[in-house]
Formats: sequence, C-alpha cells, structure tokens
Amino acid sequence: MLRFYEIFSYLFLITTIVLISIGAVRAFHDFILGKHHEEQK
Amino acid sequence: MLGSIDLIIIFVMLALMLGLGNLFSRSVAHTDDFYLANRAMPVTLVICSLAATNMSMYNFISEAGQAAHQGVSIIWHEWTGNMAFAFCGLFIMPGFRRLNLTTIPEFMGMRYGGKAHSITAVMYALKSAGKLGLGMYLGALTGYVLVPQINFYWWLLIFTTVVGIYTFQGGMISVIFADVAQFILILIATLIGYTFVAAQVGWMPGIFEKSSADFVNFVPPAGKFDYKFIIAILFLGINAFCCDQGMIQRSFGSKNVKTLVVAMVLVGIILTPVNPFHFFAGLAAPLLNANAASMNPDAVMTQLYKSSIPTVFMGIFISGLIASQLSGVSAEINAGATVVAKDIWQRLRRTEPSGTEKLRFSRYMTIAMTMLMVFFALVSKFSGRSVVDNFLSLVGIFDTPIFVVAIIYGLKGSRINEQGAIAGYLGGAAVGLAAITVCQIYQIPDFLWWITVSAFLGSLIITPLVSRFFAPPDKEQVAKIRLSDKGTEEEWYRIIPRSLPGKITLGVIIAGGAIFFLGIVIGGMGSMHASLFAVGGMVIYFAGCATRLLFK
Repeated sequence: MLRFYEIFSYLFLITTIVLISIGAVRAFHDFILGKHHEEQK
Repeated sequence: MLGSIDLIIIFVMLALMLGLGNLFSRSVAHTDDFYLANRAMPVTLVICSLAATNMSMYNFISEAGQAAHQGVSIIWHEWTGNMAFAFCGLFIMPGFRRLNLTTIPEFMGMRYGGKAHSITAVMYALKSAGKLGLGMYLGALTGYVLVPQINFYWWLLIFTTVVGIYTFQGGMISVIFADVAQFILILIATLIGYTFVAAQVGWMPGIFEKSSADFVNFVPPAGKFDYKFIIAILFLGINAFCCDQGMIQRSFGSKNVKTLVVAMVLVGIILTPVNPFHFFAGLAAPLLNANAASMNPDAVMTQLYKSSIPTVFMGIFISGLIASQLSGVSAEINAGATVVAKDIWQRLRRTEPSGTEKLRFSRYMTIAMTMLMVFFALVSKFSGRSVVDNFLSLVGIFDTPIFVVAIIYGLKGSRINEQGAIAGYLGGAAVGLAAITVCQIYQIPDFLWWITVSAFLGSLIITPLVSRFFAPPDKEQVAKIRLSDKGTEEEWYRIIPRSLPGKITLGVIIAGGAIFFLGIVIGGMGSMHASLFAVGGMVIYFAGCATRLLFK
C-alpha cells in the first residue's frame, strides 16, 4: 500500500512539473507578446 | 556535500531572479500592474503563484523539523491548509473578487468605514513586517548551515538584495512570474530531497516500519500537534487564505471569478500529494541521526539534507530551497507595500496623487518593507523561539479576529457597525495576546489551540456586544456587499449550485468534511481508525471540490 502510494506520488510530482512548465512557458510567451494588454484595448 | 559547482548553480539562479525583475519592470505602467499584475493572470499562473507562496523553507525545514521531533501529525498544518484553499475558493473568495478590491483593509473601509480601514491597515503592515522577518531569518539561517563559508549576515544581505530589487522593479508581475519559476524549482527540490533521504531508510515502507507507532499516528489524542491542533490549524488556514494580504493579492490578480475558483481548488488538490515528501523526510531524520531529537528543530533537516544529497544535486536542491523562500518573502513585501501605499499614504493625502506618484511611492514602500524585514529577521534571530512557534502565534493573534470581523460579520453578515468591528478586531487580538502570554508562563504545549480559541471567541463576542450601542451600518453599502457575495443569475459560478449534479457535488464536499471531522473527534478519543477516517474524509472532500468545478 505504502509502496503504491509512493510510486503514485512520484508520478504525480513529475507530471505536475512537466505540465506546469509547459503552462508557464505558454503564459510567459503570451505575456511577452503583450497579448493581455491588447485584449484589454 | 557542497562543491564549487553547487555555489555556481545557486548564484546563477539568484542572477536569473534579478534579471526577471528587470525584464518585467517595463510592463509596469500603473499601480494595478504593480499591485495585482493588472488582474489578468490565467489559471496556470495563479496556481503556481499561490502554491509557491504557500510552500517555503518553512515546509522543507521548519515543519519537517517538527515532524522529526513530534511525529507525522504536523502534516495537517499543510493538508488542512489545502482543504482551506479549496473551501475559500468555493465559498468565500468569489464574493471578494467581484468587488474588485486590492486589500482587506480596503474591504473593511467599504463595509464599515474610514476608521476601520485605517486601523486594519496599520495592523496588516505590522503583521507583514513580522512575517517577513521570520521568513528572512529562516532563509539566512538555512543558507548559513548549508553553505557555512558565507555567514548568516551575508546571506541576509544577499537574499534581501535579490528579493528587494526584483520586487521593487517589477512589482506583482515579476513576483508572479518569479513564483512560477520558483514553484517548478521547489517541486524539483522536493523530489531530490526526499529521494536521497528515503533511499537510506528503505523508502516509505521502511520509514513507517522503523518509526514508533506514536510517531506515525496522524491524529494523536495528546501532544503539541494533537487533534485540537488540527481543528485550530484548519480554522487558521481558512483565515489565512481569505484574509492574508500576500495570498489574496495573488487571488485578486486572477483574470475573473472562474479563474480564481478553479485555481484555488486545484492548488489544494495539487499540493496534497506533494506535502508528504517533506514530512516523511522529517520522519526519516531520527532514523538516520541519533541526535535529531535533541537538535534545534529548525536545523535538523538542513543537516540531514546536507549529509544525504550529493554535489550538483545539492546545488539544485539549495536553489529550490532558496526559491521557495524568496517567493514567500516577495509576496509579503509586495503585500506590505501595497497596504502602506494604498491604505495609509493615499488616504492621508488631501489631493489625489497622480498615477506616476502612486507608482513611485509604492516602490519606495517596497524598500521600506525590505528594511523592516531585515530588522525583524534580526529580532527573530535573538527571540530564542522556533520559527513554527513564532509563526503560529503571529497568525493566531492577527488572522483570527480579522476573519471574524471581515468574513463572518462583514461579508456574510449585515448587522455589525464600524464601532463593533474595530472593538472586535482589536479586542480579539488583545485576548489572543493575553492567551499567548499565559501559555508561555505556564509552558502549555498546545498553545495554538488556546490562542486561536481565545482570539476567535473574544472577537466573536465583543463585536456584536459593542455594535449594539451604536447606530446600525449603512444599508446600501451592506446590500452591495451581500449582492456581490451572492453573484448574479448569469454568472458561471454560484456558491449554492443551480444544477442537480452541482448540488450532489456539494453534498459530497459536506460528506467528506463530516468524515474528516469524525476522524479528528475519534482521534481525540484514542481510536485506532482515526487516521483512516481523517485522511479518507479529506480525499472525499477533494473529490467533491474537483467535481464541483464541472457543474453550474
């Protein structure tokens, strides 16, 4: 049970790191392009 | 072990943080950019920002150090915090977000009046300074223990310079983007730290087999982190996530109510499987170091990580550790500066300052808060108490009465007037302060419970009592706030769901919460099944919160 939980936690953590990194790069890219300012205009 | 390559990694990370502030300084055109990242942040950024602010060296070092001393039950400090994240996101923050506020003192002004606004602002600035000092003290202490070639005061200077400059330049925009980078680093550091420690004691099964039964009891009937602590810290978590300026400023930076609700629920769910990595590493400390029980709880984990993690990984780990601390500190600096600039300075001026003046003053206040942080870091160093004890006392005294006055009586109630609110806020804090003094004199271990209960009951009773002697509040203002809390028919989200599946998910949330509380109560009676009920209830609660997002 504990072994299963540990493997699940590792997989969860690694997946979170990958997904957050992708999301962050996209948000950073959008921000630098000034999209949010354009949308407001 | 720490090598030259590790030092290079650490200083490259610090240089990148500085560069980030410079990059975003050009995007800061007016004060809403500086305070709230222009209220334009999408879900991913709000999640990262809230999560990075919530995770700091306090988790890696202080809380895990307490786990090494007292056992695993301090994990509820974080798990109840995660439950509180979802609770505040679903039931409290939507009403606040619709009012387009920047600070809690501003809400107090809107709901009660000018005096309540001013008094809350001064109290908030004081609390921010205290929290900043604690955070920076822990950062510099950990830096010194890990890299003794650089002493405590130099670490204090390095961290202060980096975090001060990037917050000064880029305001909330650079704070939020730095948070994202820092959150990723924190997760990587979590992986590294746990892996090298757990590998030495047979991983998770080994930790649980070798630790005593009391140490791995999630809901102990007695001790510093017993069932009463769990109830108190759950309540303080709810207080923090809807009243702590550093937290709500990130929430208010969200694009709209939907972004805010989704982000707050997901933060709670994402962090819950991550937290055990820190606490279980703490449980491994006494198995690997026979002296762990007699060491300073704020130093146990630093020593353990230092002796367990090989070079290069150590550099990345320390970078993650530093990143976690800087994110919390930068949030608090920005929060303190916002309160002083917006709620004190702007209101004291007879004429409305121009946009450039506001922005300039906000930046000056960032410097002022940074200086106060250094002062309180030195006070913390000489206080002789652990960071966890100091932090819990601070939030118990400051956050509990403001929650009662702003949320229970202010956002959700309609009868209390300004005089009652001020008396309840200050009275509750005074009662909490008296409780901590008594606890210190008599060395009471479960001090958090007594501080929280005293401050809560103090403000809960004083507020309506004083309110009765003065005129009722402005009906129009109260009606506006009640309407904002309720939301309109057209909106995506309402606290009470409109659809049947939505109502079922609300039922699941309530059932999960009830099972969790049952676990805590039977834990107090010494039941063997308490851990199962408490943890199971929490999982059901989160399942309800996640599915609640799918239905109207």
